[in-house]
Amino acid sequence: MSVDAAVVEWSRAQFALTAMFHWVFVPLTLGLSFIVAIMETIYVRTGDPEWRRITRFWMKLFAVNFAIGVATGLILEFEFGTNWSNYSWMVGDIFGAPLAIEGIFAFFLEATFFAVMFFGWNRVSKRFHLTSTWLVAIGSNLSALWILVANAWMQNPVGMRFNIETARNEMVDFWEVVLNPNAVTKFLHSVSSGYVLAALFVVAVSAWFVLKKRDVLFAKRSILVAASFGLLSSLYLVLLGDSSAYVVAHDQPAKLAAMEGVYRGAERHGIVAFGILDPDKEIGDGQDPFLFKVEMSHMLSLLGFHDVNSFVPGVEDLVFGNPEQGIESAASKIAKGRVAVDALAAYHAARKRGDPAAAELAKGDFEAHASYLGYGYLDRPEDIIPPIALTFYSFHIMVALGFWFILLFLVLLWFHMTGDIAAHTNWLRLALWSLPLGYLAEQTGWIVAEVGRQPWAIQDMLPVGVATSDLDAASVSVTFWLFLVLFTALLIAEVRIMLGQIRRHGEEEASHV
Amino acid sequence: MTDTGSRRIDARRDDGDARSVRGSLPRRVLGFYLDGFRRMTLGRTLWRVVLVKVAALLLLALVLLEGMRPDRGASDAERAARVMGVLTEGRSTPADEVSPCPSTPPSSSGRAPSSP
Repeated sequence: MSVDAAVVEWSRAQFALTAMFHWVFVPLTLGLSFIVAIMETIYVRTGDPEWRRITRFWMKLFAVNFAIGVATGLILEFEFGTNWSNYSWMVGDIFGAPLAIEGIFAFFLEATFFAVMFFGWNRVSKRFHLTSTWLVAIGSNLSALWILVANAWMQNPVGMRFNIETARNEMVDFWEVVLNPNAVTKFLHSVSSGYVLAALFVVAVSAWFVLKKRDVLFAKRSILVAASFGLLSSLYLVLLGDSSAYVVAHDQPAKLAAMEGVYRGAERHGIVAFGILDPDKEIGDGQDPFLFKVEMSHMLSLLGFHDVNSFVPGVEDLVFGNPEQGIESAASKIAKGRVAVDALAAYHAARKRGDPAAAELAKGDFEAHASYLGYGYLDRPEDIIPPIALTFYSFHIMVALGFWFILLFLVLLWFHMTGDIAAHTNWLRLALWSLPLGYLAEQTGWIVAEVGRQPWAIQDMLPVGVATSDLDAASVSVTFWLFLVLFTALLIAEVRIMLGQIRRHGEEEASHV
Repeated sequence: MTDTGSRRIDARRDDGDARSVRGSLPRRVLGFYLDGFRRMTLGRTLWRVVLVKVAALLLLALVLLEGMRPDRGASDAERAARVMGVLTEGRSTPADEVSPCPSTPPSSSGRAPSSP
C-alpha cells in the first residue's frame, strides 16, 4: 500500500500521546466527583461540620484536576481533522450525534452546576448545593458516555450503512449505536476504573496525612468513604471484566488472542494468570509462545464464550483459517476485500463514463463484499494481528493491579473497622504508593483497548494506514514533540498545585475555592 | 479552643456570610457569579492555568494542526472525491496476488496444548 509509514506511525504516536495525557485527568474527575458527592451527602444527612470540611477539601482537589484537564480533549478533535482526515470524513455522520449530545447536554449540565458547587456554599440551600454536586458528577460521567459510544463504534461498527457515493458511513439506527454491547461494557468499565483511581487518590492522600499525624480524623473518614467506594467499584470491575471478555471474544477475536497470547486455538482453553512470552516466537513457527506461564484451565473458554467447552481461536487460526471451526483465513478475507475495493473503483469509473448498467453491476459486487472492505488494504495476512507482547503484558498488568486494589481496599476497611488504622504504617505506605499503580492500570487499560484493535481504525473497515492524512512526516513529528513539552508542563503544573493544596490543608478552612 | 469547636465557628461564620441578594432572577444570578469570582482564592490560579493552557493549545491547534489539514477549505464534494480516491487507489497489489503467509501450520483444534 502506498502510504508513508512514517506519517502513520507519527500520527499514531501523536494521538496516543494526547489521549494518554487526557486520560491522566479524566478518570480522576469521573471518580472524585462521585466521592465528593457522597461526602457531601453524609454532611447534609448528619449536619456534622467535619464532613463539610472534608467535602470542601476534596472538592478543591477536584477543581485543580478539572481545571488542568479541561480542554486537553480539544486537541484530540483537531487531530482527527488533521492527522486522520480520511477517517474523519468516513465517520463524521456517526460521531456527529454522540459528540453533539456530549457538548449540548452533558458538558453544559456539568459546567452550569460546577459554578453552584464552588460559588454556592453559602449562597444556596444545602440541598440545592448537594443536588448541584451530584449533577456535576452525573454530567462528567455522561460526557464520558458519549465519547466512549463513539470509541466503541470504531471497535464494533453497528447501526450504519456505507454510502457508496460519498464514502461516508451514515447512521441508520441511533439506538443501535448507543446500545452497542461494546459501548455499554466500555463505558461501564472505563468509568468504574475512574472510580477506582479516584478512591486510590483519596486513600493515598489520606494515608499521607495519617503517616504525618496531621488531621487524622479527617484522613480516617476520607479513607472510610474512599476505600468503601473503591472496593465496590473494583468488585464491579471484575464482573465487568467478564462482560468485556465476552464482547471482545465475539467482536474482536484477534484482540482476545493477543491479550492472552493465544497462538493456536483450542477448546476448553485456559487463561494465563502469569506468563512470559518468548520474544523470538513467530506466527506459524510451531514453537511454544511462552517461556513460562501459570495457567487456569478452561477459564478463557468460560469467560470468552460462557461455555467451558467452547473453542477459542488463536492468532494462527485467524491468520491461516480453521475450516473445522468455520474460521476464514485472512488471505481469503484480503482477497474479498480487494474485490470490494476494485468494485468500488469500477462503480465510480462506470458512473463517470455514464454507464449505469456497469455501475449497477459493480455496486452489487461491492455490496456482496463490503464487509471485507478494510481487508482489501492489507498487504499480508499476519497484518490482521495486533502487537501481541504489548497487548498481552498491558492486559496482565491491568488485571493484576485490579486484584491488588481489591486486596488493598479490603485490608484498609478491615483495619478501619477493627482497630486503629494509623497503627498499620506499612499498609498506609503501600496505599500511598498504590496511587501511581492506579494511573498505570488506567493507561495499560487503554493500551489494551487501542493497541489491541490494530491494524484497524474502524474494525474490519478501515486500517490505520488508509485512515491517515497525506501529510509530511516531519510536520507531524514536530507537533508531537511540541505537544509532549506542553502536556508535560501542564502535568507538572497540576502536580505542583495539587501538592501545594494538600500541604496547605487546614490553613484555609473557610476560604472559597 | 478545641479544633472541632473552632471549625464549628468557621462553619457558622460561613453560613452567616450567606446573603440573600434581592432583585430579579437575572440580577441574582449575575450577583452570584460576580461574587463567586470576586471571592475566589485557588480559583484565580486555576483560571490563569486554564486560560494559558487554552491559549497555548488553540495556538498550536490553529497555527500548526489547522495549517496541516489536507482538506482545508475543501467542499464536501471535494472531500468525498478525495477520500474515495484514497479508498479506490490506496492499494497497489491486485486482488489475486495476496502476499503468502509466513508458513501454514496444521489446523489447530481440540484441547489447548498446555491444558491439563
